[in-house]
Amino acid sequence: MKISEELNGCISRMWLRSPIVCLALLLIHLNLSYGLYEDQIGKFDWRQMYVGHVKFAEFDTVSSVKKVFVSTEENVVAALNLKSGNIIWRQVLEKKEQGTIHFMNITSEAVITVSGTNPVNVRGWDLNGGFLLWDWSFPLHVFISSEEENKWFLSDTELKLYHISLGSEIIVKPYELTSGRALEGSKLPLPLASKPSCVVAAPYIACIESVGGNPILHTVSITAVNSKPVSKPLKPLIENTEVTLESVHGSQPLVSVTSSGSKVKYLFLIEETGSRVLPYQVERSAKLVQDSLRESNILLQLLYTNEWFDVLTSNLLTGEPIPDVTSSLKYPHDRLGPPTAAAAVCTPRKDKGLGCRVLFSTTDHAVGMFHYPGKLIWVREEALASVVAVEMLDLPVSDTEAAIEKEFDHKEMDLGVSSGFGGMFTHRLLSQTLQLRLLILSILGLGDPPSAGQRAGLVRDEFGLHKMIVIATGVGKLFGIDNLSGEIVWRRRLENVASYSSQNQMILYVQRTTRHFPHPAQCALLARHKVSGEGVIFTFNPITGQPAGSESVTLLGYQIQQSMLLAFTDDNFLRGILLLDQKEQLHVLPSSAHSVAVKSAGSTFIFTADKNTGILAGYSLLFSNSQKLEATRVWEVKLTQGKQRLTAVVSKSPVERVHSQGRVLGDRSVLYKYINPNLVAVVTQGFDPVHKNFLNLYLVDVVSGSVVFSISHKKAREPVHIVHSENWVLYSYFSDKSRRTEIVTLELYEGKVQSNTTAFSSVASPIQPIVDQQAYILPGNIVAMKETITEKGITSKHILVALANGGVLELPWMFVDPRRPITVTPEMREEGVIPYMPELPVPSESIINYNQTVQRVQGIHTAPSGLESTCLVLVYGLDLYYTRVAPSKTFDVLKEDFDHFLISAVLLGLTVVSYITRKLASRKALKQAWK
Amino acid sequence: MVRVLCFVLLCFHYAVRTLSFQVDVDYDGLIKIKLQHALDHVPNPDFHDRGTVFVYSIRSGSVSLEQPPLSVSDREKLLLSEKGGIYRLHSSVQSADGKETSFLTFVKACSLVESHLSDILSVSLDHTGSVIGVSMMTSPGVCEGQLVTKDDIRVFNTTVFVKHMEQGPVPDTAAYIQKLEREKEARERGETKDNRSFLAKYWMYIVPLVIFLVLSGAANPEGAAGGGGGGGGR
Repeated sequence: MKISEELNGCISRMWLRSPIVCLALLLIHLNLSYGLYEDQIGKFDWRQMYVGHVKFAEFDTVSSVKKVFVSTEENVVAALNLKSGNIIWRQVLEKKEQGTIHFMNITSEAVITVSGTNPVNVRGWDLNGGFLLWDWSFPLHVFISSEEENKWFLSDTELKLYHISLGSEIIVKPYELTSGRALEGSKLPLPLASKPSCVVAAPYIACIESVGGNPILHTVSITAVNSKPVSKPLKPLIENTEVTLESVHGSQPLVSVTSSGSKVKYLFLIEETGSRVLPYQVERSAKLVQDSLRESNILLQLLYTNEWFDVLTSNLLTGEPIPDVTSSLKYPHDRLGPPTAAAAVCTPRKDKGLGCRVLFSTTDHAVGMFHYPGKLIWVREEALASVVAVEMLDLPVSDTEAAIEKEFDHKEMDLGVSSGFGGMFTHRLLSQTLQLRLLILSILGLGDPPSAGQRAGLVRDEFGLHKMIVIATGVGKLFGIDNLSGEIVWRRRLENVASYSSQNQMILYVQRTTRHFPHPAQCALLARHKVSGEGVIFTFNPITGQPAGSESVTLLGYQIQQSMLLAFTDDNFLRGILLLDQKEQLHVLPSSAHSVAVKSAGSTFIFTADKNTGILAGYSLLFSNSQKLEATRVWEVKLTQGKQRLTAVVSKSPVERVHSQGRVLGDRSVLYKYINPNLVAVVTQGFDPVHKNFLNLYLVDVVSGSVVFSISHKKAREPVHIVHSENWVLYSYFSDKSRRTEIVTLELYEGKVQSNTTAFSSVASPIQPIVDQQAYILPGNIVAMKETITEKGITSKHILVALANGGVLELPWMFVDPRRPITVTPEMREEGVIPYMPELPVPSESIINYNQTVQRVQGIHTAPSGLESTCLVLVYGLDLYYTRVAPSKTFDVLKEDFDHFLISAVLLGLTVVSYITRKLASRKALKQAWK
Repeated sequence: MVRVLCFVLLCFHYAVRTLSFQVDVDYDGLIKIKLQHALDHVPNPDFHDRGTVFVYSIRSGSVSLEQPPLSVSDREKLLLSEKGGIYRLHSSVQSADGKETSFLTFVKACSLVESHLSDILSVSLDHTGSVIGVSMMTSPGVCEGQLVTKDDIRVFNTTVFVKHMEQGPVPDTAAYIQKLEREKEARERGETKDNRSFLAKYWMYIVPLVIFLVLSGAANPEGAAGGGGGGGGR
């Protein structure tokens, strides 16, 4: 959040458009028609679907089209293609706890999931199409407190689902799988003394406990009637009391036991008569998985060392290795984290022997498929289902343009000549000689090879539409994505990085854009260390993904409270980052930016908002000197009392420009906008008996600390979404009273005179803005909102509203304008506002993602392109959707179907005709003269 | 003797200003605001008492102030910090139920000096009438580099505003439906009275007709006249 006072001179001065232009623009606006033609589908947009971090996986061993079923942390059940990893079908369950998947397994007909907390839902999904076959819920008293205490078991043959609750005693309750009818349950007669750790190794349950320092393994069948538990002391094998029991995924009831000091794992095969220790041991670090095929006796041990991913395939019972599948593969450790095997399947190959497929998931949330013997078949970057920060950057200039840029870069080219008239001339001659040389060399094929970016086509285009999308994800993996194709250009994995827990946020700063050739662009990621909670920073080149400083993240040694990008650049065009730590000490990164920070200290302010206490505090850097930066608290307000909570702080986009400084009214006078770049919208929410759920919105000037405006709503609840831009604030909430989503817009005006025409100053402007306000109804549930942004701010603003049904609505600002009047007066008509209608239309042609539904949207990122008319949009959540919008239509681009041939033919024809007629005319004149 | 008396009188001269306006809110109460200020140009200054503001009624906004004039040393300090310094004001608000909250605000020292200590205090309230912030501004708020003497900055000339929270708007469906009904009625009665003149109503039909007539009327004589004219010119 950048707050810097008196830096707003960049806001261009207003040039009032003539009324005719106004009217013309109005006509264009009123004739709104969005949407695409059929042949434009997929031309400017792409969608990528994700499933999230894999929790359970099962290979399809039943149906003819082989696939793998996964269920994930993001509450998604999906089927993936074995060969490509593409999603065959996907079902998104409820959000958060209500959709948490506890168990997944397959029968010959359906994928079964158990999800949710209260009630717990059991659903069957069709194997091939993913349709919901049945859905029933447990009675309400079955309450899932923790996944540790509730286990599930699916009996494929009996078609029964067993719920096993582990408490002081173990209770098993079977249910009919398709109908949900509760059958008679039983209490398992396990002779347990202390609290054991239990696992399900279908169809048995195995528990381990230590009695008098000796670990004992109890096993009992879940399905058998009157089953007798069998206990087996592990004494000679394992003497340590700290033992871990794990079940090995696959077809046989197999568990592994290891103790804390041991280097090996012991395997126990469970049978009706008790558990049998297998005559071999496996390495402790090995990930074990069995072949999923029924009646198969294959055990896969997966060993991961830094660069290699080895598989040892052996006979389960004897431990004899199966030679042709035991192999090792190079693992792309630079881009994927350590893997864990999720499921495996081995099938006889056509030629000979056995082929095994292993589905693995990694710590950085990727999911992939190995084929043994062979190779890595595919990898899906599921980290992209949890995007936390996005930036879009221009690509660097092409090699030839870079050479021209060099000409003006005096540092590189100053060969002892002054930069006067003569100097510039010398520069020009020199650079043109160089260009000529380059040209000749490239013709002869001797020149320097083109740069990597040039080869990959990653160069800036004419209209600035080709950009690099830099994405930071919740697991600390960074991605660079080409915005036109949607391909991942680079990825970088950061260790031990977590987002800020309060808002699930990381902060991505663009310290230097690509404009400053030969300096490469630089971005910085601010996040939290997973263990210590300290701040970490990682600086990198956003185009290549290469680190700019150290190879991994830098620990800062303090917790970050607030951060901002300095308003001014240093000599290398790099903008430093100012950090305020928990002890109110200021730090600047890199330290070379210290002098820049000190230079502008007098006009630099920083503010903090404490969610718990509701205190907003402002700091001035006024007392900084060249030795030390000092933040002094200069203002403080306390927005909440009692049990209220501060739920949102929204500032304006730091790259926003406002082109028009006023609004022309019907009587030709100008209403000047109150454009305060330091204005921040703060929302507090709470409950009291009089106002019920109330919602307060404050507009606070975070330089002077004054509350500019405040508004309160009764019976309003979350979801609250805020858009803050130019001179307006738009927010939505759910109205408890009317049970609908309402949108309120506030527009701030200075009045008929402008207080300061050049720059806005927070400390020297005691003006109280005039606030227009209006409320509207939106028929739909909002999950995210964002305004469009363009380079110069001339194009009108639209609001992109992500709806819960998966559509993204493009809502013109004109429709939510607070000046829409109920009774239309001629003045209002002259001004060009449309009459008030309480309900906002949601026409399907305004849904910018047409039928490309985006699930569970987290946010929308908008970025300006080089074209004033066009704004680039990335919608992120479970899916990624990229497109571009033109709020005022593409007024600066020729239509695609523009007939170049016709216009040139007409021009040519006219030229020819005018030439001929001139000839004819002169001939006629001559003839007449002779008459 | 007279001088001493004057000084004493000045010391007890309280700048009292009251602003009164009625607001439609369902709460009322008394607030006492204790003001403390810091004139030193150091990061962590000491705050000294400046005075007290009593808001007798939040609803009406009637206010009285008690602010003794600045001491000579304070005035010197203020003049000293005029160049780039800030003036910080710490306010402790005591509401009717005895709860105390404190706030901090600041202005540029130069603007305070140049406005001759004319300041505006805004007391912002939340929806229940409790104070959420006290902020200070000066009038005028800009620094122009005027010369100010010690005598100009003796007494605070303070204005207090009580800023209430506005009630949020709700979608105005009733008025819209009424409007629709009115329009419907008007349509049914069929008397959308149009009191514009005949020309104003039908100009779009008349103008093309006139143009057409003029053009077609002019075309025939012009052919002859043009030919004649041309002949004349030769």
